[in-house]
Formats: sequence, structure tokens, C-alpha cells
Amino acid sequence: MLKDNKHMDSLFAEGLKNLSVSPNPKVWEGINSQLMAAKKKRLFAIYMWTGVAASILLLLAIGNHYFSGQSNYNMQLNTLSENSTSFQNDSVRNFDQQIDSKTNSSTKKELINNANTSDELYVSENEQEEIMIADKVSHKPNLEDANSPEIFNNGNTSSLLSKFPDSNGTEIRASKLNTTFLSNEKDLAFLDSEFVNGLMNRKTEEKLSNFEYDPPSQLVPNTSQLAKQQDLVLLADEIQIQKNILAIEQLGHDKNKENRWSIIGQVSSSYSSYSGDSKGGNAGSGIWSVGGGAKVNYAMNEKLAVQTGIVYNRFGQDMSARGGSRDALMYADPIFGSDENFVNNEVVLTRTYPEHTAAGPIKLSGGSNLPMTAASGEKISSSYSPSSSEDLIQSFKSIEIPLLMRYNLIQKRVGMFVSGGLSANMIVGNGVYDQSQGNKKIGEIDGIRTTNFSSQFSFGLEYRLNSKLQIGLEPSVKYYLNSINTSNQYDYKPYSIGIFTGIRYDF
Amino acid sequence: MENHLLDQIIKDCIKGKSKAQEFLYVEFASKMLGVSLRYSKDLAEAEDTLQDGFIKIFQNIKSYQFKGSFEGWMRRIIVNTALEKFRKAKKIQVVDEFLEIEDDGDENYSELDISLDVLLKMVQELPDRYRMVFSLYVLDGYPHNEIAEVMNISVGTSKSNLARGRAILKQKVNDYLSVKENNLRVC
Repeated sequence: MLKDNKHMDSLFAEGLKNLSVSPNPKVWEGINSQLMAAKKKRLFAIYMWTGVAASILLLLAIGNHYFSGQSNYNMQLNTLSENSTSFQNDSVRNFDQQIDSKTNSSTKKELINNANTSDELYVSENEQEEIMIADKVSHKPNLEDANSPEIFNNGNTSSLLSKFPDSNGTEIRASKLNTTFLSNEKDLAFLDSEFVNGLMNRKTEEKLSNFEYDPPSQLVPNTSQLAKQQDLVLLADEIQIQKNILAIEQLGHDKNKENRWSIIGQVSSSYSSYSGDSKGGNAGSGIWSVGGGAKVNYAMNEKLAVQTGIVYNRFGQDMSARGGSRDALMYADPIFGSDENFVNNEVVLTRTYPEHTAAGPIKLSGGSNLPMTAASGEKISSSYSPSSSEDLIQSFKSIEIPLLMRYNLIQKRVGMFVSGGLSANMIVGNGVYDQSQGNKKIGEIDGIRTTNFSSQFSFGLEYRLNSKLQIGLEPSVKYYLNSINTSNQYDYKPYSIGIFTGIRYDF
Repeated sequence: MENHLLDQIIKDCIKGKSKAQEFLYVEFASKMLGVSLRYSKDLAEAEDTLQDGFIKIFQNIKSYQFKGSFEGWMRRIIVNTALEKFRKAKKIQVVDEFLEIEDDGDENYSELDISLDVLLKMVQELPDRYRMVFSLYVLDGYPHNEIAEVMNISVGTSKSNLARGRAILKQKVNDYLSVKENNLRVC
């Protein structure tokens, strides 16, 4: 029984163990198409994740830039507020002490009762950024005198209104600072930087002098108190000045925005392939190429701009990525050959250059010393040569004249925009190259349309180096709207996915 | 194929070079089709397995450690692909069978002159599960415990299926020989 089984097993094993059968060529086509699809999918995934990562980085950068800028500004104002308030409190405390020392208790009580006449200084940047410098400088209303000198300092810098005691010192009317002292940008007076600097220096000197004065011997302060009130005014001015400095900076930015014309120089690295269904055309994989050009940008308003220019591109397909360059594969034994017959040390291939690609028929160059007879099916032998890498590459060179609309999403130091539009593409180069022969041109695609139209969409980032220069990064997708071959047998619509990097100069 | 050339082709396949992939396919496709034919009921199914198997080979070629036979590594992937398709088709019926096969005597089958295509046809005509076990055990040298694992059956069932497969094949061989003998007599 056991022996019988062994005989049975050996009968089949000897025959079938090394069975070798030549598969249908369609099997390789199926394998190759699936491998190419996987490659494309992988590339798409790389682009997608790169885009996602870039978007996240961009959002982080913009968020960081925006919030840090905002917090710095808030910090400036808060610091100013704290300084002003503390300084104000100190001065008022001193002033109160003077009053206390010079007035009786009843007068003091009245002063307290009249707290509703307290002078307040509100410095408001906006609703969220309100600085209140409040002070309570009491006085006796019945002692107010029309003779009291009034200092109006509401000219261009503020609506500050002050009343100061007269020289007799019988009245105290503290400065009343309007709550709308600094309300919004429209009320701002723009001071030039020299004026601002001068004013700030002078103010500082005055502050110092105020701290050095001697308390007057009389009940009511006169000149020193006047200085106190002036100091309050100057504090307000200081805030005003800070505000104006910001306004001046803003004005500078606004001026920058007025730059309507700019030129953009760009270089691109792109992956190009095609879509379409060509009859019998050999499919290939995409190719990477570099391009570049110059564009003119005209800003119609703050957000919208139009662009045009001239851009050089290269696109095509790598024919060697599939069996297209080989019409037939020869195997050692057609069917049920023995293993000894099958195993060859050299693989013999029957190779012919394809008569056409997906883009159209190949018109071989007359001067080519390549085996022209290969086109008619001459067999040539080839063994695997790792150094010769790939074989045929079909490429087109085009000059593109785009007309694009650009919409600015963010215009800070880091800018973000989207753009899209149409382009006219002139095919200026057309060739099929054999890489195994040192990238020698073996011919060109016949029936290519000279002028073609494409659409494109891009998402861009810009970083402002200074008021004139910006550098940018612009991932872009471009798709041909028409087949570039005039024959309706070939539906070849190239597309490309690339990244433009460039520099922009604003006039 | 020389080893260093094969190694170079494998390395290029790992890099995704299409030309290397094609050369590898050309070199091994026939042998691998021979493997998949033994696990399939016909050529179409075998070529389908071959296609899926080669895609797996190219997608996983980076996991090849350059140790041992590369052909053996490929062969295993083809067999696994065939088994996977078999499992997906739910062709495996988990039935424990313990069958005693009668001894028909001691014949030296190995010396019989039967062509390869006839032998292959006999194997392909086996019920699926018998064919799988027979091919795994007899032609690819899998032990029963491994067959049980890959086919998700018990070792006993594996042995039983093998015995049943052998019996059917023996019957087929005997039938074939008797027909052949009759034909010769007629001539």
C-alpha cells in the first residue's frame, strides 16, 4: 500500500513538479496595468498628504503669526495702561496728600461727596482694548470760579478738556478727560515720526520735572498742580502717540497694498501624465520635469488680481514603464516543455518600436541610425542590462500663456491665495527618445495640434520679505481641455501636478 | 540565470523599475504558471492566479532577504495566492473524512508512459479540496500539519483528502491505461 502510494506520487511529481507553461501575453499586460495603477495611486497619496501637511503648517503659521501679533499689541497697550495708571495714581495720591494737609475735614468730606465729578481718562483702542485711567481729584463745586484758567487741549490730538485752579488756589478743578479720548481710528490725528519723537522726549522731561517739585505752602496747588494736570494730558498724549505709531505702520501697509503691478518669476517641478482613451495607444507612466516663466500681476483690488505671462513647460510619458516597447515576448518552450528546455541563461526578447503611443503615431526620424526595420517587426535580441534603465520617453515642450484670476485669502506677512484660469499652450517641442541609446531622438508624434487650451488651479503661499519682495510656493494642477492630437483616434489630454516656487516684486 | 544578475534584477524590482519587473516575469512566468496550474481547475483560473501572484511578488519583493532560493520564495507566493483564492471562493468544506483505501496491489506507476498534459488534466479534474491537498503534499512537499494550517482543516482531514485524491487518481490512471491498451489492441 505504502509502496503503491509512492509510485502514484512519483508518477505525478516527476511530471508535474517542474511543469512549465508559457502564459498568455495578456497576463503581463494585466500585471503591468495594475502595477502602474498602484504607482499612480501612491503618487496621488504622496501629493495628497503633502498638501494636507502643507495646509496644516500654513494654518499653524498663520495662526501663530496672527495671534502673536495680536498679543504683542495687547501687551503694549496693557503695559502702557499700567504705567499710566500707576503714574496717575502716584501723582493723584501726592496731590490728595497736599489737599489733605491744606484743607479741613469738612472740605475733605465735600470733596469725597463730589466723587461723581471725578475725572476720568478713558483711552479706548476698541471695545476689547479699553484702557481706563481713572482718577479722583476732588474739589469743591462752590469754589469753582469762572476765573479759573482752562486749558483746552483737544486740538488734533484729543478731545481732552481740563480745568485748572487759578493762581489764588481757591478752586480745584481737575482735568476732565473725555471718555472718547481715543475712540477709533477715524478720530486719530496722524503725527509724523519727528513730531512724535520730539513730543515724547519733551513729555519725558516734563514728567521728571513734575516729580521734583516742592509742595506749595498754600492750600491749593497752583503751578505744580497745573503741571500735574499737564502730566495727565501728556499721558493721554503718550497713548495717543503709541496709537498713532501703529496707525502710521498701518498706513505703510495700506500704501503697500496700493501696489497694483507686480512681476513674478517662477520655476516649477511637476509630474505630468495624461488622461483619455486612445485606440490601441500604448499607455505609459508620467514623467517629472522642470519648467518656469514670468508673470505679470495686476491687482484689481485688495483681494482680486489678474495674471498673465509666459511659462515654459515639458510634459509627456515614459513608454518604458510597460511592455509597450515590446510587442512580443518569446519563451523557450510553448507549452508543457521540460524544465531543461525552459531555463535559459539569456532572455530572448522580440522587440519592436511601437508604431504609435497614446498621443499618436510615431513618425520615426529619417536620419536615425536606429533599427528602422524594427518598426516593421524586426527581431532584436536583448539581455537584461541594469545600467540601461528605461527605454522610450515621449515628451512635448510647450510655451504657455496663462490668463489667471487670483484671490487673496490672507494678506499678512504670510499670505495665502487661490488662483485659477485658462491657458493657451503652444507645442514647440515634440519628440520620442530612446533612453537606452543615450536619450537619442528617434522620432516624433504625428498630428499634434500646435495650439491647445488648458485649465489650471493652484493654491499659493507667499511670505513678505519686505515691502517690495515676496517669495512664494504654489502647488498647482493643470489639465488640458482638448486632446492635443488632431486625429479623433487619439484622445490624449495631458495633465500635470506641480509646485511652483518663485519671487514676486511689487512696483 | 546567474545569481548576481538575478540579485541585480531583484534590487531593481525593489526600486520599482518596470524593465526589471518585466525581465523577472519573463524569466519565471512559465514555471509559476506550471505551479498555479496544479492548483487550478483550468488554464484561465491558473493565469488569473499567476497574475495576482506576480502582483504580490512585485509588491512584496522588498521583503525578500536574499537568503535561500528566490524561485522557492516566488513559488510559495503563487501557492499562497491559489490557496487564498480557494478560501475566498469558500471551496473548502470542512468535513473530517477518515477513509481507508483498499490496496489494489503493487504496481509501478512511475514507469508508466503518460504524457504531462494527461497527468495535469487528471489532477485538475480532482475535486477542489483533494486537488489542493494532493498538490501541496505530493508536488510541493508540504507536510500534513502545514496543509492543515493553510487550509484550515484538521491533520486527519488532510490525510484523508490525500488518500481520497490518490484513490481517484489511481482509478483515473487505471482507466486511462485500459483505454490505451484497448486502443492498441484495436490497432
